Amino acid sequence: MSVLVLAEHNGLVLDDATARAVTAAILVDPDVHVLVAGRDCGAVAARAAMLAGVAKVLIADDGDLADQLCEPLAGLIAGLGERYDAFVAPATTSGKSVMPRVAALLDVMQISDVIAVEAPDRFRRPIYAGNIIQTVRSRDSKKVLTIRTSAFSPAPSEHAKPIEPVNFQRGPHLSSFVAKVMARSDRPELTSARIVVSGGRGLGSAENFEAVLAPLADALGAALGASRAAVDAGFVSNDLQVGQTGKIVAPDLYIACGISGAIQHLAGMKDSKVIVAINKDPEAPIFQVADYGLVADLFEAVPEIRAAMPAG
Amino acid sequence: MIYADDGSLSQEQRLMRDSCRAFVDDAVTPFIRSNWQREWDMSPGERLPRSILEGAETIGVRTLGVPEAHGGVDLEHDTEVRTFALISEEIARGDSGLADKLVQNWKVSILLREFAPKHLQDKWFPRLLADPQFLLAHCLTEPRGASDRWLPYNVPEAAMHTKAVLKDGHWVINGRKQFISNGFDASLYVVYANTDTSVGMLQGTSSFLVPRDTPGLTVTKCNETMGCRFMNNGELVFEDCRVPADHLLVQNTALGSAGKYFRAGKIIQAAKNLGVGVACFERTADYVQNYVQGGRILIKHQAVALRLADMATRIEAVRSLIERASRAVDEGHPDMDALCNMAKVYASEEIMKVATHALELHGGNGAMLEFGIEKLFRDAAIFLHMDATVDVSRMKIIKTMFPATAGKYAGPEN
Amino acid sequence: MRIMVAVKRVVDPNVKVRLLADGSGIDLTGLKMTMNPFDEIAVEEAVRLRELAIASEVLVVSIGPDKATETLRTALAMGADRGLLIKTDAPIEPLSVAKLLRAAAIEEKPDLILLGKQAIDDDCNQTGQMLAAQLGWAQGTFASNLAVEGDAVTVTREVDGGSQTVRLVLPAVITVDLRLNEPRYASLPNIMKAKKKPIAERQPADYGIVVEQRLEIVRLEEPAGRLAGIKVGSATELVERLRSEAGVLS
Repeated sequence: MSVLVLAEHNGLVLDDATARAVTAAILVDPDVHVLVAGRDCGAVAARAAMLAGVAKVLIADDGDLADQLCEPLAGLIAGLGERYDAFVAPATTSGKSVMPRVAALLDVMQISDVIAVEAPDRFRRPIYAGNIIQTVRSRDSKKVLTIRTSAFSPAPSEHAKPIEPVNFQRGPHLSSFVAKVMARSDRPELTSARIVVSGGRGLGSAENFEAVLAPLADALGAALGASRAAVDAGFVSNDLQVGQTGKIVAPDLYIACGISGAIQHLAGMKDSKVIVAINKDPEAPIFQVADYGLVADLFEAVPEIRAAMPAG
Repeated sequence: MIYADDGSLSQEQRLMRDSCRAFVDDAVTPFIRSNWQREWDMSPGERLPRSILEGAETIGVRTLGVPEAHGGVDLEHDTEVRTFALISEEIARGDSGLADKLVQNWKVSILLREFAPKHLQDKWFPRLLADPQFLLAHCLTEPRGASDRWLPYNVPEAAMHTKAVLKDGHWVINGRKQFISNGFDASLYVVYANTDTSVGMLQGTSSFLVPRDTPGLTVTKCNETMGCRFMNNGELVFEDCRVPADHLLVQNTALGSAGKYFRAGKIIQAAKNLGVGVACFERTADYVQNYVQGGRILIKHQAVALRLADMATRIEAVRSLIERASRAVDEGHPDMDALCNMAKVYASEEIMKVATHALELHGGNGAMLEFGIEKLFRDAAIFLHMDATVDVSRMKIIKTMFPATAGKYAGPEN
Repeated sequence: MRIMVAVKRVVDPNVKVRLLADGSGIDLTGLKMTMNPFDEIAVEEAVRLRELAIASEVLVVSIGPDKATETLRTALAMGADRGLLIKTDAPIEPLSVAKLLRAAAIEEKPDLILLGKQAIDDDCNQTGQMLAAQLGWAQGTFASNLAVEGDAVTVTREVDGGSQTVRLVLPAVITVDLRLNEPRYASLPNIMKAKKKPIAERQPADYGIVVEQRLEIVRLEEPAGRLAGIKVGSATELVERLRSEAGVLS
C-alpha cells in the first residue's frame, strides 16, 4: 500500500515543508502520494507533482476546503483511509491541527513531530522539550505522522507525475473562516531560512531590534528571530519566537544576540549547524551550545560584524 | 533534598508552597537580580516598588492571620505554625526583607484577632485588606533593652521605659521604640508600654493599638541595615501620644499573652533564615555546575564538591529541627519553648556558614554587588541578632530546660 | 454555558529531566510536579468566562493517579467549581485520554471544552483535536483569543506566519496557546476554600473504556549534547572564522 502526504500550501504556492514531508514519507513506504486540498489550487498540485519520489498527486477541489479548515480536511483524509497505510504531514500549525483529528477518526495514535524514521513502524521523536529522544513502535495498522521539517531535507524536483482528482463529500459546517492576518516580511521565513539572526532581552527595545539587528539580518539575507523574553517584553511579534513554545529552527547559521539561552530557547535552535552567541555576560548558558562565542556588548559587536562583512 | 519533603505536607500546604514559589520565581527573584542597585536607594520609601507588594497580594500572603469572617484565611489550626514556616521560607528564598515585611503583618493580625475589641477589628481589618501597601508593626524594642530584657531580671528596675498612663478616658503614651521591623512604613502599630512601675516587666507591661496618624507619634528615622534592606526598620517617638481607652489590647500581662505568638515568631524567623540558605544553595549549585575552571566545571573539583555537601548537610539539619520545633508548637508539646529557640539560634549560625561557603565558592564574583551572593551573605548575617541574639536565645533554652535552677534566676516567661 | 477543562499533572517545566541509569524511563523521583502550563491558561480562560457570567459552571477533569487530585485542587483554587478525577495508574496516550474525556463530556454535556495545546512532557499536541473528532465537534487549536457570541465562539489562532480567526459552532473544543492570557496564582485563601469544593472520582471501566497502549516505547535517550566551542576575541575574528573555518558565510 502507500503513503499519503498532506500538502501544505496557501492556495497558490506549495510550501517547502511539503517537500520535506515527502522525504520522510519515502522512508515509510516508497509509494508516496500527495494530497492537495483546496479551491483552484491546480498550480500547487502541478508543483507537488514534480517532487522527486512522488508517484501521484490527488487534488480535492471544493469551496469547503478553500480555507484549510480542519473539520472538512480531516474528513477528506480519513475518507481515503482504506487506500493508505500511512498519512504524513509536516508539523506545521495546520499539520498539527488536522492530523490528530484524522488519527482519531481512524482510531489510531498519531506520532507527533517525528525527527527520524527508523523503520516503517518505528520513529524517533523529541519529548520534554527535546531533552529526551523517544523511539516508538506503532502497533496500529495505520500510521499517522507529523514530521519536524527541520529534520528532513526537501525532496528535489524531477519530471511531473500524474494528477488525479479525488472526490470530496461535504459534511456539516462546524466552523467557518473569518480572517487571516499574515505578518508581512521581505525576509526569508524563519523555519526555512539558511541563516537566522535572533535577539533577546538584551536588545532592550523594539527600536533596537530594527536599528541594530535588522541591518545585520538583511546584510546576511537572514530571517529575524527572537527569544521568548524579547517577545514577552513586546520588542517583536510572537511569530518570531524561537523555542519550545515558538518555532523550531535548524539553519546553517544561527546568531544569538543578547540571548541568555534559557532551556526553552535552546530547545528551539540547538540543532542549528553553526551557532554564534554574542552576550556581555560570559556566564550566559548560550555559550555552552555556541560554536563561536563573543563576549561583548551587542550594540558594539553587531555593527562591527556588519562592517566586517564583505561589501554587498 | 534541599526543599521541604512533600511526604510530610498536606495537600493545601503543598499548593500554598507552590503558589509562593511561583510568585517568588516569577516576580521577586527577577526583580532582586536585575535591580540590585535599588537596595542601596537611600530613600527607603522608594526602595521596594509598590508592584512587589501588589504581587504578594495576588497570592494572598500579606493577610494571613486575618480571620475568614473579615475576608482573610483561616489556616488549619493544628498545622498553622508549620504552614507559616513553609510560606515564610519560600518568600525569604526570594528576599528575606520582603518576607519580614509580610510576617510582621501576620504577627500583628493575630494579636488584633485575639485581643482587639470587635469594633476595632471591624475598623482595621477591612483597611488592611483593601490596600496592598498597608503594613503593620510590632513595637517592643527600646534603645535601652531588647531581648536581653527577657533574660532575667523580672524586677521593676528592668521595666520598659515607654510608659502609658490612663487619663480622661485615654491612654497617654510616652517613650521611644527602635529597631522596629516595618516601623518606617506601617500604618498601624501594636506598642508595648509599662503600665505598672511597681512590678516586674512580665506583670506590668500592656499593649496598645496605635494608628500611625495619632498625634504625638513621630516616625523619626529609617534605620539603614546591612541586610534585609527591603524591610524598612524604623524608629518611633511617642510624646503625649493619646489613644482611646478601648485601644488597650492586653493590660499588664501583654508579654505573657503574646507568648502564643512569640513561639510561632521564632519558628518563622528560623524558616526565613532557612529560605536564605536555600537560595544560597540553589545559586551555588547552579554556579559550580556551569562555571569552568581549569578545563572542568567547578563541581568536578573535589574541594568544591565537599563544600557544597557541607552546605546541603547544614540546610537539611536546620530544616529537620525547624520541622520538629514547628510540630512541637502546633501540638503544644512541653519542649516547645526550648525547641523553637533552638531552631532559631541553630538556623542563624548554620545558615551563616552556608552563606560563607556560597560566597567563597563564587570566588571573586561572590564579592560583587551585581552578582547578588554578597546580598545573601548580608541577609544571613542579620539573623544572628534579629528577634534575639544568639546568646540570649541560648540562655532562654537553658532557662526552659532547667526551670528550677537557671529558670529561677531568669524567671519564667509566662 | 458550561465549560469543561482538561488538566494534566506534569513535571515542572523549569526542571531538567534525566533518564534512569538503565535508560528504561524518566527519573521522576522527587521532581517537582505541576499543572501543565498550557492547561493553566485553559483554566484561567474558563474562570474568566465564569467571572464574566458567560459561563455558569467550570468543571475540571484530570486523568491519572491519585496525585492528580492536587492538580484538580489547584484548578479549583484558581476558581473552577468542581473536579472530576478519572483514576488510572497506567501510562496513558492521547487517544485514550480523548476517549475518556469524550465519555465524561457525554455525561456532563459541556458547551465548550478547553485544553492546553500540548502537554510539556510528551509534547504530543493531539488530545484536543482527537476529542473534537470523536465528539464530532468543531475545533480551534492554538487559541490566542476567544469570544463567545451566542451559539458560536470566535477564535483567533496562532498559525505559522501570522494569525487566523475562525468561528466555531458550539459545542466546540478549543486548545489554548501561550498568549491567550496570564494565569493567576492559586492564592492562599482560595487554596483553603478549594478544600470544600467537590472532586468526583471515576475509573476508566466506569465508562466501559479499556486503556490501551498503541505505541511501544522502544528506547529513550538523551540527545548528544552540543559541545561549547571557542570564544573569539573580536567581531572581525568572528566573521573571518565563519567564512574560512565554518564555511557558512560566503
